[in-house]
Amino acid sequence: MIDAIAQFRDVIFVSVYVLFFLGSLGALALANRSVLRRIWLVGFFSTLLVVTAVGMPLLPVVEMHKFAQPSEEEMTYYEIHVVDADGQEIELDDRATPPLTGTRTSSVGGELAEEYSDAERMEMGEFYLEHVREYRQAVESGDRSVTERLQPPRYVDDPAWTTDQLSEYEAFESIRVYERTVIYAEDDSSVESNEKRLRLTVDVADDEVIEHT
Amino acid sequence: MNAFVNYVADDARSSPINLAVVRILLGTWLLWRVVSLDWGFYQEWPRHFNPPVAFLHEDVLLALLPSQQWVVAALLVGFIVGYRTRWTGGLAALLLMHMLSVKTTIYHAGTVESLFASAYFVFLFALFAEDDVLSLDGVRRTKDRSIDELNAVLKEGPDREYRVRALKWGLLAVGLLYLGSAWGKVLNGPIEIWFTGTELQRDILFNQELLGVERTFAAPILASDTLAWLGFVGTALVQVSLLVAVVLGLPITLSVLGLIGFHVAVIATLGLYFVDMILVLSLFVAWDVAYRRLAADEDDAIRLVYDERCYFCARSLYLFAHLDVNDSVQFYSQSDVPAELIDRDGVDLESEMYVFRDGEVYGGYEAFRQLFRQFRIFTPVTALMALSPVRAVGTRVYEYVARNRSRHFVCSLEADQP
Repeated sequence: MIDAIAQFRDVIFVSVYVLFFLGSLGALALANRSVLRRIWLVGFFSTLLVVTAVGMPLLPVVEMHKFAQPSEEEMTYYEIHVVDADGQEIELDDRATPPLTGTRTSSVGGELAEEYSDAERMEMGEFYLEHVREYRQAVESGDRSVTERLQPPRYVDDPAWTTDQLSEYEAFESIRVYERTVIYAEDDSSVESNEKRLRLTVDVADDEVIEHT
Repeated sequence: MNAFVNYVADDARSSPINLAVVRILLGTWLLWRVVSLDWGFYQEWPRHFNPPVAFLHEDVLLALLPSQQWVVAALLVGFIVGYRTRWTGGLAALLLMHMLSVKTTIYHAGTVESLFASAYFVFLFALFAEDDVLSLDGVRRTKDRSIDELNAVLKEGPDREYRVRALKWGLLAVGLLYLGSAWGKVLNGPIEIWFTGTELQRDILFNQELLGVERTFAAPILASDTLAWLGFVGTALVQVSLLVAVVLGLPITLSVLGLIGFHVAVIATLGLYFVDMILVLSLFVAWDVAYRRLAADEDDAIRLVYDERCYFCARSLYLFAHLDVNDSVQFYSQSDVPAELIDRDGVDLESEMYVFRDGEVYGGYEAFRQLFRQFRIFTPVTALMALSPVRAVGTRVYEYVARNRSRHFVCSLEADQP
C-alpha cells in the first residue's frame, strides 16, 4: 500500500501543503465558530499522527524521529576539504556555507561523490569556493555581521577556522571529497579504525573533475 | 505541588498568568531566532537536498525569505504584546511555517523542527485568542463591556476561571513529537537494539569522529554497557511517558523533568542538539504558582479609590484586577469608599485616583506607582517610575490625561449607561 501511495508522493506533498495553509487561513478567519476550530484541530492532529507513525514529514507538519536509524558495525561519512594553490588542504568549516552542519555537510559530500554529474559537481565546487573565500576574508579581518553576533550558539560545536590556521594557506582553488569509514571496536567503547579515502577532486581553477577510485 | 501543568487533564487555571508568560517567552524567543537567521543565504545554494519538497525550491520563494523575515518579526512584536493576536500570531505562525518549509529544501534538522513546534504554538494562541486576558486584546475587549460590568470586575474580582486551550493542544502536539522520537527506533529496528546500549555508544563515537570533538561526559557511557543501556532505554521511556501522562490525565512533572534531563545529557555527550526543546518544555511550567507566591497577599493589601463614572479609568485598571490573584488590591469608588479615606485634606476624587497604603495617601501618578509596586513582577517598572525625570514626565502625562479624559478617552459615563 505504501508503494501505491508513493507513486502519488509529489501530488500528496503539494496538496497537503496548499490545503494546510488555505485551511488554516480559513480557520483563523472563522475562528469564532467552534466547529471550524475543531475541524482544524482534527486535521492537524490526524496529520501529525500519520507523520509520526510513518516517519516522514508532510510539510508544514513535521515529526521528530531523531537518531532513529540503527547504527551498523561500519559507518561511512564524507568530508569536504578545500585545497589551496600549493596543494595544501583543510577540512571545510561549514560556517562558510550555512545552514548546513555536521551530518548534513557529510550528506552533500556523499552526493558529490556518488550522485552528481560532473557539471553539477563543478557548480557545487564553485559555490563552495566562492563562499569559502568570503568566509576566509571575514575570519581574517575579524569582521562579524550583526546577524552573526545575534546568533545563538551553533548546536554543532566543531572547531572553527582561525586566522593563524588560515595564514598557512594560499588562495583556495579546488575542493576534495573524502570518504571516511568508521569501524567500531568489538565492545563499542571506542573506534577501531577510521579510514580515509579520497573520492573526488573538483578543481575549479582548471575546470576539471577527477573521480578517484 | 506540580512544577509543570497537564493542560490536557484540565484546560482551565485560576489565573491568566500562564498564557501571558508563554506568549511573551515564546514570542521573544521566536523573534530572536527569526531575526538572527541568515535567510538570505539559502538562495545561494545551487541545489536542494530534499526531493519530496522540491516544489518549494523555487527562486522566487527563496528570494522572498529575507523580506518575509521582517514581516514575521513585525507580526511577532504584535503577538508578544497580545495585539490582535488572531491575525498577528496567526499570520506570523503561518508565514514562519512556510519559510521553514522552504528552508527544509536545503536543511532539515532538529533546530528547524523546534521552530516548527513553536510556530504551532503561536498558531494555537491565535486560534484561541479570546482566552488570553493579560494582553492588549484583553484591554481592547473591555470596550465591549459596560461601565457597570467593569466596576463589578474591579470591586468583586473577575471570574477566576481562565481557559488555556492553546497550551492544552500545544502539549498534546509536543507529546506526539516526543513519542515519534521513541517510535522511530521501533519503526527502523531491529529489536536487538533495545537489549544493549550499543546504539547510544555508536552514536556518541560517530559524533566524535564526525566533529573531531571528544566530550568528558561521554566517557563513562562508552566505558559502561549498563550505563549506555540505561541511557538508551531511559530516553525512550521518558519520550513515551509524556504522551501517556498527558492522555491519562496524570501529572507530567516527572516526564518533563526526565525529558529535560535527557536533553542535558545529550548536550553533555553530543553537543547542543535539541537545546531549543528545553524552552518548548518550559512552556508548561506552572508559572502561575510561582507568581502567586511572589505576589503580595491580602495582609499587604492596598486600597485604591477611582472614579466609577470614568470608563477610561475602569478600563485602565482592568488588567490589574486580573493580575491581583491574591486580592491584595481593594478597589473603591465614590459610592462605597470608606469615609476615613476621603475625609482628608487634598483628596479630590474628581481629579485623580488615590492609593492608600499603610496610612499614607498617594494621588495621581504616585498612586499608579504604588499600584505597580503592589505587583512584584513590576519591580523594575516601579524603580524606573521613581527616577526624577520619569516621575516629572509621568506626573505631567497623568495630569494631562486626567484633565482631558472626558474629551479624549470616552469618560464620565453615567454608571447605568452601557
